[in-house]
Amino acid sequence: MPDQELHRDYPELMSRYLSGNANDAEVQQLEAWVLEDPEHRQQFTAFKKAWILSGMAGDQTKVDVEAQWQATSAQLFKEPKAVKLKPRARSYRWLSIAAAATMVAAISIWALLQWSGERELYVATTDQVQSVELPDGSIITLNRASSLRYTPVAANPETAQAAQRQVILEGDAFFEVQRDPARPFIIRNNDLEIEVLGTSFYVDGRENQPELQIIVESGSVAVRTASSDSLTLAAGQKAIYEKAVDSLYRQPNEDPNFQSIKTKTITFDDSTLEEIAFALSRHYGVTIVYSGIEDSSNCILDGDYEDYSLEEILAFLRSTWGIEAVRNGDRVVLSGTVCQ
Amino acid sequence: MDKMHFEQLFRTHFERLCSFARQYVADQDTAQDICQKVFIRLWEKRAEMDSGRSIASYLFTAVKNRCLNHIRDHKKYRSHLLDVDCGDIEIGLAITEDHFAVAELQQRIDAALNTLPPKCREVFELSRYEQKKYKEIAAALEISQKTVEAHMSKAIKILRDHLGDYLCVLLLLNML
Repeated sequence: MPDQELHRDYPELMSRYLSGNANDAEVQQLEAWVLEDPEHRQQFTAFKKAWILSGMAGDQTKVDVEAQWQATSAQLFKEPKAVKLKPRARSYRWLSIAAAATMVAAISIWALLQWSGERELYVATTDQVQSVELPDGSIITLNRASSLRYTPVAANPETAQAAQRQVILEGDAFFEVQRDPARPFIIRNNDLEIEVLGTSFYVDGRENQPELQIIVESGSVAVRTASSDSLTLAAGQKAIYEKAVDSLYRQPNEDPNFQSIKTKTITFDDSTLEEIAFALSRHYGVTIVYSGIEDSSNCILDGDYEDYSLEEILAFLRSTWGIEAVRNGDRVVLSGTVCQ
Repeated sequence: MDKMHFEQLFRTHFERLCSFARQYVADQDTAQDICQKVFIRLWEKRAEMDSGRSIASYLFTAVKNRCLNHIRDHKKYRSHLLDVDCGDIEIGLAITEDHFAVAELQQRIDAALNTLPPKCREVFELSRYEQKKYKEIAAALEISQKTVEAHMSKAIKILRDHLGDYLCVLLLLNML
């Protein structure tokens, strides 16, 4: 980082850090400053305490302890579920690989059986995004290298099992589910079960990602893990499931591109290199690595990119940022020292 | 620990833990989620709990750790070095012990916030309680990011000055 760009105003830098606005270089600069002098450490600690304590300002929403207790005890002490969900995803993966291998076309669809008047459906994609209309009218936009199996399940009066629309998903997809209160729509993959009545949302269940994401555009969506942790999402919220630590939580969605496979548009709003790389890698199904870029503070983009091919975007990055951007199969390498 | 004991712990500590968690995560729903998870974990691990150890300090520590993990997962850049403990668990235990202390602290914070110039306060509250980015605050209030920056550091300085002696008193009380 050029010297003149360093922060000289440490209260501003500390505020930036505490409020989550500092970037990597600024965090390092602050660390160095705090370490260099006990006086600095004291100043930082005082700032930090003031910041932490200010979280307890007066007008807090009252906690409904009774309701929270009911919810918690319901989770802990309810009767064990009759059906334990461990989806049989493995066999489907073989099907999808077999399908991908044998079909020259990117898409394969076939009807497997007739059930409650609706057919079971299987769709797998390789290098094209595919929009699929299910027999119930729901529309699923399936990203590249993904597959889904749709199974309508009739109600079973003997086991008191209600009718369901089941989808087993591998990869990622955008769902627009037709409302049907009598038949919940349930999506499963290896880790999660997602239940909705009628709504639109995005599910990122790509195996190579450390976390799964569910982002809701409209309606509400219930998410459950195999260890029966669960939460409900409303429009504009995102659920994140970290596979390694089996942790499920909710946050406001700040990702403007969760519908990009459906809208074919990628939107950047002062986006950082990290955000850009994430959006592009998901949208185009590639891995993006950047090497040698020491100062990425100018690697930002703005605007809507509609119907661009990856090659067009990369050409655009080369000319806008003055860096190298090369695609090699599924891998894109961005290199250079600094963005112009 | 049986179910009745667990329920009693929940009812005694849940609200305190939520306000403690809100120091870190600000958002009430998230704070409640975190506290609920901590209790669920406590129940699942009840057999391994060391009976000699204070359950209250276990709960506060667990809530704090989860909060820090949550912050780390949601903010892009955090530093382990800068996030080290500054005695906040002790403070949390001390001030949430009784409602008077909590109410008093809240009054102090409100009083401090009240001394901020209106624009400065607005900026601080958008950042602290609504987790808005500087960029978003600048856009929403139609001011420059530089001005947001100046308001933020001014606000924290004033809060520090108002809460500083309070923190010292707390720490002293704790050592007695």
